[in-house]
Amino acid sequence: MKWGMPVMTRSRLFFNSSIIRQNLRQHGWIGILYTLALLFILPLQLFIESDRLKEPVVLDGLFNLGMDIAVILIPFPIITGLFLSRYLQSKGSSDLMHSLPLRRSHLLSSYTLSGLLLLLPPIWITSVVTMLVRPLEGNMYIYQGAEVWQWCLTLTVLTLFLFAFTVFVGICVGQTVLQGVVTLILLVLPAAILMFIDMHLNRYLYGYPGGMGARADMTEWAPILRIADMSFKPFGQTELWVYALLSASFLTLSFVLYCKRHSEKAGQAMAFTYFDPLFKAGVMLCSMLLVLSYFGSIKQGTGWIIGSVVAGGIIGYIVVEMLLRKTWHILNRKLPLELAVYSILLGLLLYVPVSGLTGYETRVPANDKVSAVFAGGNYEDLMERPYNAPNTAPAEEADIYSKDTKYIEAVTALHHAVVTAKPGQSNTMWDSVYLSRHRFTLSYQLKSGGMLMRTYMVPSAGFEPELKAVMGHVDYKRVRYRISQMNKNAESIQMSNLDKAFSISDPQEVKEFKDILIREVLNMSYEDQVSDQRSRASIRVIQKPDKYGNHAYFTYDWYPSYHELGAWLEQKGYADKVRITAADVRSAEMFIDMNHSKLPPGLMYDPETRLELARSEKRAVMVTDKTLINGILEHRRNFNRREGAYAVKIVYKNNSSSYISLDEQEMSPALKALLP
Amino acid sequence: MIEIRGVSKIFQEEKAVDNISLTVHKGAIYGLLGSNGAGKTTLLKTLAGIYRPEAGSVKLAGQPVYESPEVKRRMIFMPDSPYFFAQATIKSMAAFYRSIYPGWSQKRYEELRTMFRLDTRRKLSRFSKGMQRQAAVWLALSCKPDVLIMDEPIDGLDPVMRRQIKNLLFQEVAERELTVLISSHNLREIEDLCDHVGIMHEGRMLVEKDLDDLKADTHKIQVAFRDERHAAALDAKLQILHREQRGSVSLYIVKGDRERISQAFHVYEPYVFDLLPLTLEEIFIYEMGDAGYDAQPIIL
Repeated sequence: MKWGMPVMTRSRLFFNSSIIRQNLRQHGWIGILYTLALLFILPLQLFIESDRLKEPVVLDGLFNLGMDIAVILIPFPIITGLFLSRYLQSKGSSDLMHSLPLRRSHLLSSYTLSGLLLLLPPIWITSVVTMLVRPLEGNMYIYQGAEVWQWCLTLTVLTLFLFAFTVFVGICVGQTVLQGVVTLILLVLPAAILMFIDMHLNRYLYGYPGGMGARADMTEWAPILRIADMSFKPFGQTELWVYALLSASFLTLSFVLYCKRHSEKAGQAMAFTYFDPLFKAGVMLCSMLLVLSYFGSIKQGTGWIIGSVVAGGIIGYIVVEMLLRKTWHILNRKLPLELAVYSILLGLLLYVPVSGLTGYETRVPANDKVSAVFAGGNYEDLMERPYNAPNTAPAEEADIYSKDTKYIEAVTALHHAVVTAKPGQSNTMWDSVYLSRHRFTLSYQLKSGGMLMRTYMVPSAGFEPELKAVMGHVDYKRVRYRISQMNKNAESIQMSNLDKAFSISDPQEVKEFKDILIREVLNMSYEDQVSDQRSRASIRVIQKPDKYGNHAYFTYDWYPSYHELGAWLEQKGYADKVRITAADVRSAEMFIDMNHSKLPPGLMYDPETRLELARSEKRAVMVTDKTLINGILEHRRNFNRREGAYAVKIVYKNNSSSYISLDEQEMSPALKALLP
Repeated sequence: MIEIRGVSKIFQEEKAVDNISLTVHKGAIYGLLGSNGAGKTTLLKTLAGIYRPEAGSVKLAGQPVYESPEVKRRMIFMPDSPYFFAQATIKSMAAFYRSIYPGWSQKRYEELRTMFRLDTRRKLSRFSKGMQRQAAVWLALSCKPDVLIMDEPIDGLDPVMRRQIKNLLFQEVAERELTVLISSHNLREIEDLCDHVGIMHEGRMLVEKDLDDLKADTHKIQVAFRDERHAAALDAKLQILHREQRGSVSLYIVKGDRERISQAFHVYEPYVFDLLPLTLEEIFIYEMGDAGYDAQPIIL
């Protein structure tokens, strides 16, 4: 018979072609739309830009072309997964499909293959088209086959991953809407949980290096966020392998779980009851952390902390119970007991890490256990991209860790002092600027191969000897001021002050300047580093261009304490090119900055308000004498907001203005005499 | 043909089917009766291999049904509301079934076309419920299954179509020993169709009977005795399920051989004696009353 034969052969394969054909007939539109969208986002963009561009542009990746590809890459595989899992979630089709003479593995493989047939050919077609239009007239971009291949591979793997994950979630839950919601949540959840945990530890665990890696790595744990970032941060080979392996594991898990899944779960929230506790605990934990992070940021005190953990737990529990039972009538006799068990377990989970029971807060490695150490406030900048040199590569570990035993001793001594005294933590910028606190990340490489890292806000007061030993050490300064990196590729120097500027590009002079600058920086004492001496001009050491033609630069200051540098600049005649004199000043208004208690609380730090207060109390005076103004400019220091300090508002001829402070010892008698 | 042994199916801690066993022989038409929520659909879906039972076994010709394509190829399950793919027509559904069921007979499909007179190119979603059901029967019979499982199949069909489908089933049973399982909450609808009937209530099987045996075995008798004492004398001789007095006429429901009962009555030479056949409904009402159930809410 005609119909009998093909069935016999088909059944030996791992998929069923009639189901695939049916799926393509029913959902083919997804494939067509995906193709069109991809054609729009890649090959079409190559031509759209041509009006604007005069020169062909060389591309080193096809991901950052016009529109963000994530807008298309994220929804299509997920929607396909949802549509194809409908056969599990809708009662009618679940009954039909499961009454057919097909094994479940056959069903799932056929549906999975249908999804891949809808999703992958559009990517491959687009890649081929992109390759074909390469030599065409209106194409204003230059790219290689390797870039197209990378694009194709990345999209294939990520599409596969998103689709496989959606199918996996579909096996675990029984409703299409819930499947969509849970898929999206789980694809973001790892980052959210890491963020909550980071916030939690940062707030309650003394010394926890909060936000360490939070900005950089967090999104990498949430596939959706990672994919959203891909236009400016393409996926690497390893990452693609990870995603490919994850896809394979989710598909395998789907098959295993599907064989255990009861078909009557169509329409239920969760298809497997043994996921319920995990689901409950997960929702409760998120809810606890969310409520805690909200109230924790506005209210202090143990009562509030415990209260918000309990409230968060109850809210989470109610939500998850309503979801699981599909009703809001959830009260029964079992509920209080279960809620209490979950709350206590989760509460312990939150409390134990921050309780001090783990010894985290007091642990300081012994000197002989440490192989190398870093101390400083700019760890993140160093490890990522320095913010003042956005185009340079992150520092290498060898550049920032020191093996010097003296330095290791100094750092552990500071660490000991801090964990013993536990100075209060306040991470705001105001504190570090005005209360003279230093943000310190202490990072140890241990001989055992481990790492230990802590972050503290260390006030100057009470910690001077320890700070002096650390900050005065040459290794601290070398890392703090990025000497080795600046030294490597310096090409030219720019100096500027207000609107005065000049640059040095003669290699000999650049070398001389650089060598002196390095000497000056490394010679700075602890006092120099924490003093409020004001920069005379800012220095940019500009690097040789990288492969994209971008020049990175490092920024430094010309401080009055840099005597050798000052002499060199004078000798070369550069000093006058950036020096500000009385001729550049329109007005200088000197006042005694006092009676701070009279300032309105919201405007405590506003210098203008302080000046107005001084004017109203007749403590302000205009300085007009050019010699006196030059004296002020010579000795100006950063505006320090100390009670009773001498301060000046200087308005320059270019209309910019600045507030500065003066040190009493450095003030001439004539200047002092001006004030009442 | 079909052997169900000790099957239980639990939905969220509730037993929808509780330890049911039944046997259906090849070529039989088995009617599964019960009120709503009695567990009929669950039992049928378990039989069709859609549900995996928590306990017990479901076998077709000695082979377990669940996850066994070789067995499921021989049977078709028709749900209470027919399901077709979105946008599907009878033609496309036929193509689908043809590629899934090796027993599909194009010849049978064409034969049935003349009977059903449905437009095979029209979208099934635009058909009325009754037409959809006809289409489902058409497709199912074209697959030439050995076992046909029908969940509430008569609902929504007009009397003519009802008759025709019944005739079709009789024909299939007579010609190629098709085995049919039909569920219904209405006894009258299927009493002329089934040769076996089982009644389910709250997940359990209350009564299971061969209808021919039943009909041959249970009788309704109207009698007017010459003397009231004759009635008392009869009680000892016959298995009386039910008796009621209407004036001078007594109504008896009696189990046993027709001849023997007739003789027993004639001994007393009653004024009136009528021996009548029972309707299926009456049989069950008396049977279940005997078993301690109030039949009224269970069978309509």
